[in-house]
Amino acid sequence: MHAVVVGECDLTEGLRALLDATREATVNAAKWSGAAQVSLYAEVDRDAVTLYVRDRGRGFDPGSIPGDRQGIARSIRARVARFGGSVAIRSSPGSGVEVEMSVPRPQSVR
Amino acid sequence: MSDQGRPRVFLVDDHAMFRAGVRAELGEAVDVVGEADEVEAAVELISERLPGVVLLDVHLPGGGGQAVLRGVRPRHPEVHFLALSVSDAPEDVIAVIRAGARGYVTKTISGDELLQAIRRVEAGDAVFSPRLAGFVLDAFAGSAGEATLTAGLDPELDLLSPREREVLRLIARGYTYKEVARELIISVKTVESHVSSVLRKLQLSTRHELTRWATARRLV
Repeated sequence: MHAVVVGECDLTEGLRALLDATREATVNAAKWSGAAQVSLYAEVDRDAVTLYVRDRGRGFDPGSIPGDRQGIARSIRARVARFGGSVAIRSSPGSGVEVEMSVPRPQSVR
Repeated sequence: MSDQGRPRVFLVDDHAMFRAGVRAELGEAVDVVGEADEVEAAVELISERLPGVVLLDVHLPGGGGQAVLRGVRPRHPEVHFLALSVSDAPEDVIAVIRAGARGYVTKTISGDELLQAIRRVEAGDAVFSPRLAGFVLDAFAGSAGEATLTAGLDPELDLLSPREREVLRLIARGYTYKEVARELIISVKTVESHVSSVLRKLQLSTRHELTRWATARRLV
């Protein structure tokens, strides 16, 4: 597990949801990818916190997600969506998976 | 360059096991021309054998990796340094880069990746690990686009261009140079030139945030 973090901010409800989703994505990568290493990149900027979880494992075709995978993807999506965030999953067979998750930062802390 | 075109590499690390590991890992792909386990011996032997690339441990007894750079670089600027470390303390990493190292990688790097990094540094390019890319993004917060008017900042040295920022972000996300090139639809050579330009900024910038940032991180 390699983590790189840029910026810092206070913990909010939205951020907690993002971190929960990140944990799902990380566990997912560890369980399914077959890769020896998972990279995590977190960036806090003025408007949003964005997290990337990436592995170089076996990957999958996002167009034909097996049932169990879809469940996990949905649990990641639902968590983040509740706080106005978004999730993008990029993968193709053989090229690993990258999950991008982002939640906006509250207006008051800008 | 050695006669066979293999990079001539010098190892500086205070742990014999680590040096042996690197030797074994790199095998025949490089020509290891010497080793040292402390600053004084390193400066002397490197100046005598003039390797193409020095693999330099950041934490070295007798002044750290910086001391080796300071001892060799003024007289032998043609010797390139690649910093290696287990500790990721930002102030140490930034210090060896500012002392003249062409790149920084962690000791968890694979043998293949290390070999690629050595070749890159030997050719005069820069090598950024995800961690170093993250440090730079943090230290150079604020893009050229939005902060050009900030007092005292020289956009040539103190700010990253939007493209440099994009490249560093992808490296921080764990992309290889080749993957960055594919993602941004540019050549690997262009990725290398962006990274080298960032390295130059990192080495020459007088940006006060850089010092303040590294110092603040030391207290955490």
